[in-house]
Amino acid sequence: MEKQPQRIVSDSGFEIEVVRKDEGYFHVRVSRANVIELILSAKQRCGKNILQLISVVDRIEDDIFQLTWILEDTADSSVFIVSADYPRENCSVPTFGDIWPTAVIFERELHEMYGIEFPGNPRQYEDFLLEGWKELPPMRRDFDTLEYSIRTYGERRKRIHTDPRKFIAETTGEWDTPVPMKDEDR
Amino acid sequence: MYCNKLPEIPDDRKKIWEKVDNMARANSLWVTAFGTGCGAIELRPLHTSRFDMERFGIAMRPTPRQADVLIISGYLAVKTLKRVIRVYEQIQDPKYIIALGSCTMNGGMYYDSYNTLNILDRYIPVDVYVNGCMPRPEAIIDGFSLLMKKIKEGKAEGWKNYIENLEYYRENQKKVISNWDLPDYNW
Amino acid sequence: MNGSTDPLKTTPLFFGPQHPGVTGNMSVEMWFDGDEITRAITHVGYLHRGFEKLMERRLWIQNFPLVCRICVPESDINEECYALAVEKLDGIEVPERARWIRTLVLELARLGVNLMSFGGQAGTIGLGTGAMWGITFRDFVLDLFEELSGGRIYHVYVQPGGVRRDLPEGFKKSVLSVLDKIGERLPELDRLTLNNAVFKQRTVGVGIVKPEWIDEMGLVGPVARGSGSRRDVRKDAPYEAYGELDFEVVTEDGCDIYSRALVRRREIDLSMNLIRQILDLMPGGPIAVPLPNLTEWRIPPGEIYTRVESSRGEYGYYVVSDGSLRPRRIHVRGPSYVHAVTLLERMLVGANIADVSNIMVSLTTCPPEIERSR
Repeated sequence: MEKQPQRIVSDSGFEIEVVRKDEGYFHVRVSRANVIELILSAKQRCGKNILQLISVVDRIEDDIFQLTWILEDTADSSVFIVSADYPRENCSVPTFGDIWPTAVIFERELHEMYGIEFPGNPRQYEDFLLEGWKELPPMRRDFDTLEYSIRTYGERRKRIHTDPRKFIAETTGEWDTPVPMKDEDR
Repeated sequence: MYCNKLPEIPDDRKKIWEKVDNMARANSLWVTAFGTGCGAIELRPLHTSRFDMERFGIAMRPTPRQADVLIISGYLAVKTLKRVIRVYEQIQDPKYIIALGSCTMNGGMYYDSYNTLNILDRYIPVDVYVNGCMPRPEAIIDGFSLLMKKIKEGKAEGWKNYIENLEYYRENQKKVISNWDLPDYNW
Repeated sequence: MNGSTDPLKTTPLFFGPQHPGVTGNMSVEMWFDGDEITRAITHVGYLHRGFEKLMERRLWIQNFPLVCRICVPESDINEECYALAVEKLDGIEVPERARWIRTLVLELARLGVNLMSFGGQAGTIGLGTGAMWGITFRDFVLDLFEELSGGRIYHVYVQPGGVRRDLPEGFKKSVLSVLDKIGERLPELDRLTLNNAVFKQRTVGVGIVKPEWIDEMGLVGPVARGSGSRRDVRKDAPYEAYGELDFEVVTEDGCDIYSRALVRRREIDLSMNLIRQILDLMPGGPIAVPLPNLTEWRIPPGEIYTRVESSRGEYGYYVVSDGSLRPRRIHVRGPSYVHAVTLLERMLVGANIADVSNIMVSLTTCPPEIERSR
């Protein structure tokens, strides 16, 4: 028997690319105009669908954000994944916060990490993980975390010697300086 | 709300008493219950019956007001650093800091992370580093015994160092904490 | 969430991050009227290390030491989930014995965490002995891990295509002796907690998770199973050797803290039972397949979402590869995400201040997995 999400997809009538199909696993890619319709019909017709995750892949070379909604059916534990591409500039994505309360938090984090707008999400401008962040949103591919780390926190201390005993003796100073073992002690 | 006056470093008049005090201080190190990082998971076996750190006079205390030691258990995110400064400044003098893990020394495996500090002793004075990721309970006990030794010899002076060089520390702290709203010194 | 924050009627209070009752490094901002909380907001981010950004900068194999640090008490879940994703993307077949060893490791980790959180539940209401015993029993399990992998907390034991090394000699005997040692003392722990009048008065009818919230918010693990749900990835979508093991999903329908503690207590029994089954059925053979040159290891482009069941519920990894040396995107979905933010903010409204840490521990929120950065 055909599984519920697959029936929705075959009934829907719009263009759908199947990414991966497995036992209890169905991943499709649609155009961004059809995302809401597809997810809502999955929610209504499959009954007990829950939103597990909203994820973003920054495909900077194509200048798009790929958004992915992962739904799980609590009745048979099958996974239904919907992906769609959004332009990277002034990215604005519909919110699902009024259907699943968890979506509010997922979207709030994506706003902080990627700078994606979710119009209608009441809490998207609250700080979530970062506090007073002024740079580019950190999960974007064009944000260089190593450069930022060196600029802000300073370069890390590196080992000057490859011999650990010398290194420890130098860094700990007079404190508990380990006495190097003599060859006859070994 | 706060007392903005800087704490005073006790004068050297009581030098002999200082030694006696240090003997007492070293044998009752009370630790603030603040698990700042993943190293906190190894503090639980340490203060329960398996490793039992109370036999060394080390006990967990719920508030900084009752404690002498702050354990920075691993990497420190910027958001936590702000809380750590508050907690540290609220601890009564003398106070000591033990830093666990490689990530407090030089960033460890998070050297390129945008949200963790690389070198902890630029921001708060660290008395003892315990290396490892994560340090075993035995290693932490060893760190405590090193701290005791330092205190008895009068060399664990991070808290004096902090007050004397407060400007240096404040400058570094303000450099990473972008929304600085702490008072000059919050008691 | 829409409770009153009227400054004339309510008092604001920060619970955490420096507080002995808080689970990990997180905080809850609360407003309360008398003793009753009118509004609660969870603040996280104190442990944010930007894992997902760092993982995009590392080689595929270099991520194994990173992923295990996402969840500190139960590190093997992350390695397993990441390894499953890598294997599915690259089409690696895991040998039979490695699958069974992995299942053994996962169950041992689950046993350890459940012992700690079950004991910790007693600890939050002042029964310190329960916490002491729970953590000490867990330490016996950590000793087994030390024997197996060399590390107490972080094992980095699972690798793509198998496990890092074979079971040491006499490991079966030491596992069985630890199980006997724990099993012998568990009835005493029961007497101290589940059959204790203080424990019952503080937990029965407190911290209700309504069954209709399970589907609305996507609750998983012992939190959902304490409210009558039967969801368990081990049974619903078996991975590794769980399909060949004989077990029943543990569920209770009290919806309160007591039934969640009971679920954890029965999960301890279940894990011990499963470990005995696994040790009896452990097949022979190779423990890993050879991997290509790891510095040149490219994984074909693709996307995958893998799930495993941790002690706190369903754990998911969404992994995207673009055919290069490094992963394009790894997105971790930890169970605490929903429990500590959405559920906790709703549950705390109407609760007493004294019950806050009790409720938090009953959800076993684990802040690192919320803030591993998306």
